[in-house]
Amino acid sequence: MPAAQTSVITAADRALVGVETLPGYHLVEAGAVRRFCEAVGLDDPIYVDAAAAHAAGLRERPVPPTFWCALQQPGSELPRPQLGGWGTRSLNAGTEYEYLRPVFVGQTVACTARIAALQEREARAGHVVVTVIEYVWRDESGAVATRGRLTAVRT
Amino acid sequence: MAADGAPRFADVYVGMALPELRKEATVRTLVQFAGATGDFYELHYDREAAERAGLPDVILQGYLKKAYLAEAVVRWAGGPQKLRRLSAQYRGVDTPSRVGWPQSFTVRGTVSRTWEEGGEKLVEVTLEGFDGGGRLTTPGRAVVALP
Repeated sequence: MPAAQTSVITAADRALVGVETLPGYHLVEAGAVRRFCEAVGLDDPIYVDAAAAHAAGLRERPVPPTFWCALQQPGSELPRPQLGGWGTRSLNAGTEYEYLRPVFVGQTVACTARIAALQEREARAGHVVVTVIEYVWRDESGAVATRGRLTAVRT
Repeated sequence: MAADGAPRFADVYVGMALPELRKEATVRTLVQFAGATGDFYELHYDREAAERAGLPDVILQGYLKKAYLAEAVVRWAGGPQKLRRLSAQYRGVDTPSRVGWPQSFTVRGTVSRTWEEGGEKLVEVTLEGFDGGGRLTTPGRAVVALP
């Protein structure tokens, strides 16, 4: 059995965990939502037609459930772990959204990001470093509307 | 079932299957999605870049596949306002449909848990995204609140 890889996460990398970016502000713009719906083939008119949204009992056109990936820009750069230059490729292994408050076209949301977890382990692919990035979108009242988590695996 | 055709909590049971959703993503789809999200990573539209990375073709964006999972569950549940959680794992790559090589991305969903919490009637749906060859590339999970 080969010797286990020694840790590649440095103290400087660990210091990045939990540090939140500045908020990046995004207007939920009707044209951007329409282009997103066209791209993913989402043909429910409630996302693009305010009358259809009203008929469905909504006060405005709702944000499509995964449109948040188009609003994923915080207000300052999220510093990434350098791992002393270790690793050759990084994969997006999975993402998760938690929906806490509805958001509609015309609102402005504030996106912040932070590294929520940084771990390393031995996997089938060998030594891997798993980084969990948490994104939070707040509405104008400051309440969290949606929380997102992205798990990146570096090998 | 409610008047709008959406399921009610009392009608839902563990093992209940959602209607299958079949999508077809072309290279045009991938370019549109890149433009819509502002993510211009070349592996999603530049075949040479994909081949240099050892891939057979350009690949579908993970978030595009997640949008398909979302569509399947939201269509069934009766609207995006019902959705409480949605996750997707990107376990395998999917290539786009091409002339002479049609490919589909199929989403199947099954109710895997029902419970009440915080005054809401919640339903967990286990989602599976399959490539054109029937390979499970994109498992996921959703939680919806039903009346």
